[in-house]
Formats: sequence, structure tokens, C-alpha cells
Amino acid sequence: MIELVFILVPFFGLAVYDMKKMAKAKLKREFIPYIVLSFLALGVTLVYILDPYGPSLVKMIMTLFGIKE
Amino acid sequence: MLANKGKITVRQALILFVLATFSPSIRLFTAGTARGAESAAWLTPILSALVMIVVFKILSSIFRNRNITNLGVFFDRALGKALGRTVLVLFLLWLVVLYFVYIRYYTERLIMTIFTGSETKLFIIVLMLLVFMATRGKIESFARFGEFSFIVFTVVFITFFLFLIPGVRIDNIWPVTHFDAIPVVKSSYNILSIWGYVTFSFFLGDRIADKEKLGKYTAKTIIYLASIATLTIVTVIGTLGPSLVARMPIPFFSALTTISIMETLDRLEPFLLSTYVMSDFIVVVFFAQIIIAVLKELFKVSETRYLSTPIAFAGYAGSQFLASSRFELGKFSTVLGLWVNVVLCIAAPAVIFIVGKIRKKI
Repeated sequence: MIELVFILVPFFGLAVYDMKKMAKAKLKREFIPYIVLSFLALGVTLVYILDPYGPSLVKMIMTLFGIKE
Repeated sequence: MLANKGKITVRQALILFVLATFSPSIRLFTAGTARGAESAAWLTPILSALVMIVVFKILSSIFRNRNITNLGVFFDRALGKALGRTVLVLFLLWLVVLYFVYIRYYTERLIMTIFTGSETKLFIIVLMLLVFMATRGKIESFARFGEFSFIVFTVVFITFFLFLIPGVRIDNIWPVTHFDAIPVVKSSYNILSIWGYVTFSFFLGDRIADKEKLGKYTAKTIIYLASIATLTIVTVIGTLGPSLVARMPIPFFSALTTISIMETLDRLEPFLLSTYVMSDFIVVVFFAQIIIAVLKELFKVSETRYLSTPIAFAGYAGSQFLASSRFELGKFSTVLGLWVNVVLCIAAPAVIFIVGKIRKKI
């Protein structure tokens, strides 16, 4: 959980800083890929840190392709 | 000098592509080809070079049209908007997986070689800080760093080859008979899956000023790639033997431990490791830049440097979430990863190009 705090605090700090800069430069469209990529970053962070011994991404992809271990 | 600010030349783009292939080729080419083609493994780069000529020809034909600025635009033109966007999203998903894969391989390699048993997180944080800075900065600076690294890599590798050649045993790479033809063809996917990254490079098309000159550099690039790959395979398999190389995780590293010049110059592994780390940094930034370029095309945005923050954070957690162990990662690469690379980088552009020609859109 401490690791989660160490990741999320700088991430949100930088995200707020970036978004302020983007808003100042009137880059409205640019918010969409930023949010998409941020959700990906947050998603993998939460999944990994909250369940580090759960199934890995590789395992999920191999299962999707029907490849057994 | 370039008149276009924020753009690189096709020569610089190809140098970045060549550098991006160094790290996976050291890991993969020798063991992968030795497993299938044994003593004839050194022929696989020659066969792969022939396939690459076709790939370069296709890319060159695509970008001769000045209206096609990058691969995303090519997909839209050839397949129509809906299917083109779907293919682009598939490429994006695979690029994200490869980005995680290379970050993870970088840490695994450090742990396997000199930092045995160490915690991986610090290595990833250091790399992600560098990725953050490199993706936020100008692509021209990264390309210039690539040009400098290219000279360093070439000198280092030629020196290694010169030191390894005296230890090569001819019976490890010879005889080669007609019975080796099928194994050589089958093993060439190991090489094509990595050389195919040239296709990914052209997602950066918007940032390449003179794409139409790609044909001019085709021969030079392929000859360089084939020479380095052939020399790597000849020296490593020639020194250690195909059966031993096929079972090793990093055979090139093991081959270097055999170098001893006049009983004074040995232990050259740190030189390989430092070039390896540099190569890992380049391949990771290369994929990060391409992911950003694909997002730029997908969402039609003009400014992308802010994406460096989420991409660095995604790399940190994603590389750890990717695989639970080195073995799982290795299996994923050999069983699935290489084949997906071949399909997306070699087969897909060719098929889409043919579809585009049939629809008279290219």
C-alpha cells in the first residue's frame, strides 16, 4: 500500500501540473489521449499493487489466444 | 541541416530502428536460431534479408505518396476509416505490450547478469525517469543521441567480433547441406520478428521529413542488419556450439566470457552490459515515442509531449504486472510474441497494401 501512495502522489501531482499547462495553452483535444493513457497507467498500477500475486498480463493474453502453460 | 523543426530524417529514423533491434537481437538471434537451424543458423539472416527487401519495397511504395504521412493514414486510406482505426487500435495494444516487455527484459537482464537477487523497482524507476525526459524532449535530440550511440555500438560490436573470431570452431557452423533448408526457413521468424520493427518506425511518419527517400537507404540498412546478425550468430555459435547456445538465456554474454587476449585482456562483459543498457533505453524510448505517435494519429491531436507523464507511470506498473517470472516472459516471447510481431510487422502491411491497391486507394 505504501508503494501505491509513492506512485499515486507524484502521478497526480504531475497530472495536475500537465493539465494546468494544457488548459493554459488551450489544448482541449489533447486531454482525451492524456486521460486514456492515465487510465491505463492507473489501471495497471491498481491491479498490480492490490493483487501482486494474481494472474499476470502475459497469462491473460496467452489464455485469450488459447495457449496453455 | 533540417529545415523542418521537430522532425528527423529517414536516415535518423532507420538508425533508431537499427538501435532498437540491438537489445532483442543479442537475446534472441543466437539461441532462437540455434534451437531450430543448429549449425546452419548463420544462414537465417541472409534469408530474412530477402524478406526485408520486400518489406522495405512496400514501405517505400507507401510513402512515395506525400499525402500518406504515417502508417495510421495508410490504414485509413487502404481499409476505410472504420477498419483502418480498428487495425490502428490493435497495433496500439500490441505496442503497449511490447513497451512493457522491453522494460521488463531490461530489469531481468540486470538481475541475471550483475545485480543477482536485487530488487527490480529501482532499476525501473531510473529507466522511467529517463523515458519521461526523452519523450518530453525533442525527438531531434533523441535521434542525435541515436546517431552517436550507433557509432559506439558498431565499434563495440566489431571489437567483440574480432576478439571472438579466433575462438570459432568451423565444425560448429559447418557443414551446411540441403537438409538444412527447411530448418533455416522455419528459424528465420526469430529474426524477422525483430527486423519487422521497421514497420513500427513509420508510425512516426509525421515526424520524418523525407520519407520518400526510404528506398535510398534500403540496401545500406539491410546489409548492415544482415552483417551484424550473421557475425553475431557465427561468432557465438562458432565459439560455444549450437546445442549449448540453444539452452542459454544470453549466449552472447557467455561467449564473451571466453575471450582472453594474451592472458591480459579478459572480463569484457561489463562493456557488453553497458551497451546493452544503452540499447534497452533506446528500444523503450523508441516504443514510447511510437505509442505517443499512434495516440496522436488516433485522436488527431497536435501536442503530445504531455503524454510523457502517463506513459512513464504506465511503464513502471505495467512492466511488473506483465509477467510473474522470467520464464513466463520467455515463454510468452517465444510462443506468441514473435509470431504476433511477424503478423503485424511483415504480413499485415503487405496484405493491407494489396487491399489498398485492389481498392485503388494507394
